[in-house]
Amino acid sequence: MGKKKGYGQQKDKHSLKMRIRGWFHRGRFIGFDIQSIIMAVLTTLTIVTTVVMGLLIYNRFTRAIKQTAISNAESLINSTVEKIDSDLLNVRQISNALNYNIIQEGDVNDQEFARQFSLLYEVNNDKVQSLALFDNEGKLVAAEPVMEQKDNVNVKSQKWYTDALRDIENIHFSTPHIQNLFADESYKYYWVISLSRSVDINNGKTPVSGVLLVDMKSSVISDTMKAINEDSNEVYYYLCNREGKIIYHPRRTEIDRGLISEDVGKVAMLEDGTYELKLNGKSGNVVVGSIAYTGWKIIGVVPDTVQTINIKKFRYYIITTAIVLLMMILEVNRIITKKISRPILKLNESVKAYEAGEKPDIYVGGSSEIRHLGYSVQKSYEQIEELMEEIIRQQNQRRKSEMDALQSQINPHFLYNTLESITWMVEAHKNTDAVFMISELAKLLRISLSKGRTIIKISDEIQHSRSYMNIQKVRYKERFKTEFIIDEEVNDYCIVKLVVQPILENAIYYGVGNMDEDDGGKITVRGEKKDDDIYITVEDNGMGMSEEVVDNILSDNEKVPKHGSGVGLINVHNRIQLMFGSQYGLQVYSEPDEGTRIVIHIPAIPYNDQNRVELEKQKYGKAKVTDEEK
Amino acid sequence: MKKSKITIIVAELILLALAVFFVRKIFEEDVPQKRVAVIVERSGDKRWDALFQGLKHSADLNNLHLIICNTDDIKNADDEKTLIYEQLDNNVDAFIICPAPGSNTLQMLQELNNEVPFVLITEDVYIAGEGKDSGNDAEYTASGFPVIKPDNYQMGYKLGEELVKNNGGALDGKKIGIYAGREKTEATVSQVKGVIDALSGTGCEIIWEYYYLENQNVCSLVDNSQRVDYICAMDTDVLDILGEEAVDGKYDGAEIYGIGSSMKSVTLLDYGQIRCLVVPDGYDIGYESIMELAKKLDNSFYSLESHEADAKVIYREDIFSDDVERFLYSYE
Repeated sequence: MGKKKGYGQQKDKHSLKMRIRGWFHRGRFIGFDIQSIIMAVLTTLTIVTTVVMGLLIYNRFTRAIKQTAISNAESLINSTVEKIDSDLLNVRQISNALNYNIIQEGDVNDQEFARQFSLLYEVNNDKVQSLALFDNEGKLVAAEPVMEQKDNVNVKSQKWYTDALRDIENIHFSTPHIQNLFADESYKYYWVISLSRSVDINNGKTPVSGVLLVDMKSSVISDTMKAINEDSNEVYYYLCNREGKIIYHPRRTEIDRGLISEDVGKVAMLEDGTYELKLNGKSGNVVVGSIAYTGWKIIGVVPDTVQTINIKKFRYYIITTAIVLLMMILEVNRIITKKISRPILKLNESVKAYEAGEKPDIYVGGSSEIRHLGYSVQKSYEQIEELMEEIIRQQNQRRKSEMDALQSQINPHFLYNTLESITWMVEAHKNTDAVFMISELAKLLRISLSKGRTIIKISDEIQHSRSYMNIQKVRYKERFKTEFIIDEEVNDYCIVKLVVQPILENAIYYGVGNMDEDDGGKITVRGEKKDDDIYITVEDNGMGMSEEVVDNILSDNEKVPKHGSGVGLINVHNRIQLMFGSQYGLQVYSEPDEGTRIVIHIPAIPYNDQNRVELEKQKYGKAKVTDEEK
Repeated sequence: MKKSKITIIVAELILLALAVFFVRKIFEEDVPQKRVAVIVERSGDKRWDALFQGLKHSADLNNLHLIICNTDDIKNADDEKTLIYEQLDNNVDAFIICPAPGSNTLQMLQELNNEVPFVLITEDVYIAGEGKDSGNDAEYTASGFPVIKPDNYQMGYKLGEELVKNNGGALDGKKIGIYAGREKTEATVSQVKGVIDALSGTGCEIIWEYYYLENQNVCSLVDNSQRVDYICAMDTDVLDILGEEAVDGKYDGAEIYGIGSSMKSVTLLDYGQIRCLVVPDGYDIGYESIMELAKKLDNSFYSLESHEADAKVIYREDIFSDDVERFLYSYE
């Protein structure tokens, strides 16, 4: 069984550990930042420590208070026992003096007897209510103070009298009772403790036995008891006899009336000492002290709730101190936590900003470990930056190469066709036309070359288109007309070299190239600026294109036939987008038998060396953005 | 503001509120005791011994400060009113009042009811009426104020019953004199009604009926009145005065039956000068009145309730029994 239990406990412990670990692993704490976690841990530790310390101090204090109360009760009971012992001894001594010095030595009929009897009373009337001597018939022989015996009193039936005659060797103490012997003129009753004993009375020559009664004032005992019960702060003391009958109790009236209860019987059996008992339904300590001769016991009850007010106050002090301490430690925790976590959070923020695409300086600060971490991250990002730039540079290089390749595709086709036309003109002796053709070709080639530049002025591009169209018109024997309507303002803006010519080539091949002169074939080139953009439109009234062709003409779709110089519209479109961005390029509108309109959409970038160079290096705009950021 | 910062501020505020609460609690314990003033007619009189014991014990138990006002100079309801307002000026928190006779008492108590809580003891305010509201056949109407008192009608009735019982159930031809307390008080009216009801139909004749007046020569009045067989003394003062003189065939041998609450009344019974005594439990009246007020002072929404105290019939031979001795311990 033991083994099984042990195993179970181990399993429980293990599963708890696993559960806690699981919490972390499952990321329950991931949602909290490092500051919150440190704060939570420190605060929890602080609370636990404060509560534990508070409880320990509180426990120690209450124990000390209780122990002090018990010690006080013990010493108080010891001194009270001595005091009551002394009072009772005093009364016994009075009784002895009466018996041995007066009753046994004198005759009750002598004047001297009465005088000494009276004298003894006078000397001790502060504690003695009355002295009385009764014969064996219960008849009053002598009494001090001299009072009339009540007519309805049967002394022989009274307990003190029967006790004295039953056990003649001893002195008998009664419990407090109302004296029922004499008629008092002031109509009062007296509470007394009767000390009675059997005595031999000399009544003339006839010795008779009798009973001597010394009625001690009950107040002698009750005043002592009252005094120790005053300001005893929940601890109380009472006096009972060995049968458990209460002699004095600070709340005797309430006990007599059943308003409260006191477990006297249980305690009356105890020997002297201190006991931990459950009394009247409450646990506490009981201190018992015995009065000599009478067997009476003084009981001190120290309930566990002793010094309730002081303990309560102390409890509030402890709680208040704990709260103030908690408030202070919470603030200190907050500062410490902030101090520890701030560099980490700052580093985290800068890394996050970097991830979001910004270019912040990576935070380097805080403790040496975090500083080192910051340096490492910074270095890593610098390396990434360098690598990225390298990749971009390589990509640009690749694009440029592609563009160069695209542009270079134009030249062989066109040159071949043009030279073939010139050859034909020369053979036909059309020298003027040949000269015109060669002149136009020269212009065309000059612009095509443009010192190897990719970006040229729009005016040059238009001139290139005019030259191209002049050459083509000769080839097509003026079967169509061309018109250039170019706004002056667009001339000095940038354009990618040789983008209009391929469109014109398409317009000829797909549009007006196969039309008769009478059909009125016409190609119109328009150039205009709208807002920050420039639109160059090439429109023909040729045979047009089907919707399917229009839809696929700007894609790599193989279905679309590529004619002319071999450079498709898609190439032009790609080149514009590569240079200016994806929002620019070609727009194609065509209706079969109606004609085709192709719009070149480019940004209006004034032509100058700086813009040209930046465009060619594909850096145009980026520098501008960086300046704004700065 | 960051969420964690708000949490810290909220936590600090809660802790601050708790700290303030507990600091207040620390000083709350130092609040002085609540004060209860006791106003009874002739407060120095011995008949109040048991009542004052009950008040003191209960006040100790409930941590109340008891002020027993000196009322030896108070003669009427106006004097009582003056004393009550003096105590109100002394910031007394509650009152225990034995209502003084007089037509102004009711109005004065109604005014007081708006100021501080109070309970009436030993008797209700006398309001002449048909007695329907009082719960017995006494000819008065209950005031509605909380009252801690014995059933005065029943005490009178018990006294009459004992008288009848001691005569074998019949009082044919016997003459009875009734000497009650002050006229037009609830206790007197109820007790007289009770004793008359108990004696009715027993063949006796009530020869005279007197009501106690201040400085009245009680013995002389009885001596000069027609001879009776039994005197029913319904008031402690009257009983003690008549009982003290009741020796050597005084009052033509008339036996005294009485209602009394002083130790003197008990000793007179012991000396055989009174035949039978009905004693209200003064200790219980004092104890319960403080208990009621303590509840009210502890919780202002508590509604004070009336209580009925016990009354004991004592004969000479019973006095030294354990039961009566315990009862008499209340007078210590």
